[in-house]
Amino acid sequence: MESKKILIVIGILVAVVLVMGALIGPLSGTIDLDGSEEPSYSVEDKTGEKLEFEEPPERIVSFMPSNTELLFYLEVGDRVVGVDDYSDYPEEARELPNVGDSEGVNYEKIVDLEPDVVVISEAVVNMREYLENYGLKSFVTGGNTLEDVYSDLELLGEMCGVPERGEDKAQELRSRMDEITEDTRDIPEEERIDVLYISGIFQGINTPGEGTFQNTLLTDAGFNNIASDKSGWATISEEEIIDRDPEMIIAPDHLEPQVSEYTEKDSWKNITAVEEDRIHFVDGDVISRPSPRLVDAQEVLVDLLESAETTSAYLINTWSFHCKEEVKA
Amino acid sequence: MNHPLKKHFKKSLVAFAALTLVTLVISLSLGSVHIPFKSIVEILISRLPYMGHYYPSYPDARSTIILYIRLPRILLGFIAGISLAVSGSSMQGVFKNPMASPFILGVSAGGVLGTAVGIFFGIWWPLLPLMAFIFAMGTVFTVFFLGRVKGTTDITTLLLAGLAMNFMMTALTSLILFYSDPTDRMSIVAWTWGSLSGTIWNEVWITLTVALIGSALVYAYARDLNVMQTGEISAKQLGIDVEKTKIIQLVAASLLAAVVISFTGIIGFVGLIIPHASRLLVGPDHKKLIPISALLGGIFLVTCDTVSRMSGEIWVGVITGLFGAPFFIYLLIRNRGETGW
Repeated sequence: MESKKILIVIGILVAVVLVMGALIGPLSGTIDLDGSEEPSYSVEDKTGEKLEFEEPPERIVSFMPSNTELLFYLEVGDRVVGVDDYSDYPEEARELPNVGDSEGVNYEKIVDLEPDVVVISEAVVNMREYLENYGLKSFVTGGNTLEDVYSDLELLGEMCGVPERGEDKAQELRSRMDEITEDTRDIPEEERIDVLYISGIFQGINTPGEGTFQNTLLTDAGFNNIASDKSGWATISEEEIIDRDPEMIIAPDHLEPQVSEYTEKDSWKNITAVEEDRIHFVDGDVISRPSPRLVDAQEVLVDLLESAETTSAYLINTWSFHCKEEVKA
Repeated sequence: MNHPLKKHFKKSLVAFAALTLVTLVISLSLGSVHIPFKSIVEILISRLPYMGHYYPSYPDARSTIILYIRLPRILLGFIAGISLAVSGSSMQGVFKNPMASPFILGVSAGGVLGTAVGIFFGIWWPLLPLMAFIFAMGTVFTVFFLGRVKGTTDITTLLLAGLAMNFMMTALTSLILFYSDPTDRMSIVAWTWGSLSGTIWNEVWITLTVALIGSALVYAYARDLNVMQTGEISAKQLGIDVEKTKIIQLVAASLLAAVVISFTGIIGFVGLIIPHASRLLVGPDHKKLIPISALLGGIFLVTCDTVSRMSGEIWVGVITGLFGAPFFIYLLIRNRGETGW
């Protein structure tokens, strides 16, 4: 009796599956990216994936603020039909429909915008799998260095069917950078000011080391990055910071409250930068995004170096003045 | 005892089935992109066999949104709700304790650890549920044997063992996340609070198969579970193989919870409150309890996930907790002292 009932139950369940299977059977698997027409060109993105295009994409969804800035810098902003929630530059990008952020991607919205390609970056490369499921192409930008920003411009230019413009824009950016750092990038090691750049506060203090665009910016601006022996964005302990004794601390402005919590600590008060009150906050959007606006960040850093040089000169002068006073007395 | 639906089990089963359908339809028509109900119906009908002739298929974005984003996600939510609720019912029955649930006994944390290990070593994704199952079962049996004192289950020891295993599994998962490459690092928050975002059809098929097998196993031994509630000694005297029943129930319960968790992360509370709510409604008979739990769990999770989708992807576990806890407290107050046991 009992086993009969079980059989009936299982039977019903199997029937349900079969009905559902019949309903949605053709849906298993994924949508094929249609390759009906001959592709006229192909571009390899930062992951080495080859993307084929029949014609330049006319509708682009840009995920990541840096990608949005790159696309607008390339003068293809009019093709961008949707951006992530954090894309706020240039002004036109604010008007565009938002498609979520990395913690909550609004795939429905992305699909609804019917983009020819979605530009994502290495940090959110796992989105590619999902987008493929919905039959959408994704183009991955990224990398940590300044060179990567230039090559992103070139690759995006190629993808958008304006390869020459991409190269020109990259070259333009490169020469502007060179111009800005002309007087600073060759400052000899021993004359450089030791700087700590705080890029984030997550499970400790994060700082850019070797192979990051921020390390390059700092070095070219004439600073000595005290974390340049580390690789990538790394954590630096408070002990290391006290030991390496930076003469200046720079951080993005959105970190001001957290950084101040550290710099007001008793254990930090003998650090030269804290003692001489040389803690500077710069526009976080400009210095944190691998985008063309890094030239603005570079200008700010070069200015900071100059201001540091004048203040130290000022300090030396006042100190010698005090000495003279003492001698007189 | 006051179990409002005890005497109307068949009617309430039909009512819940109807409610399920309504929930699925409503949830399918809600989303961040507005799609008229008529289009949704046409998109679905165009996919029925032999109907394609009358309703040409929609090749556009709408059709992709309904068929590849909303529908699989809603179905996975429904199946996950069933699995977690049945898993919880089974565990509460085996341990004869209202505190037992996949979450509290560390099964969820074990499942997540298994998945994290699998991802860390880059194994093929369809094997991830298997990894989750192995780790979840390892956890549940460790807890089960730690909780056995002189041939009987000591509830205090059992719950403490579950707590300890939970902490250990969570710590090991965080350790793996700490050492994994930041670019392919899974979001710790998403794993701790669960998310149904980005569901694909293959995940639906896998969880559906497992949900059917697991639920059938649990239901097949429902009568034995009932007898065991009166005491293991009398159950043995009635000719029930108590140990076999327990082991089958625990394997099925771990399987149900682990496979879901390997795709969605930990969705708490469903496995704890849904069996309770169902027990308050239909009483302690597992043959009524399990089907009602299953439907209620499915409805509850689909509803919570719809809220998640409409609110910019708040983690679904946050919503199950926010909605579930007050509802559960209400039931407790209404039935003060009468938890249905």
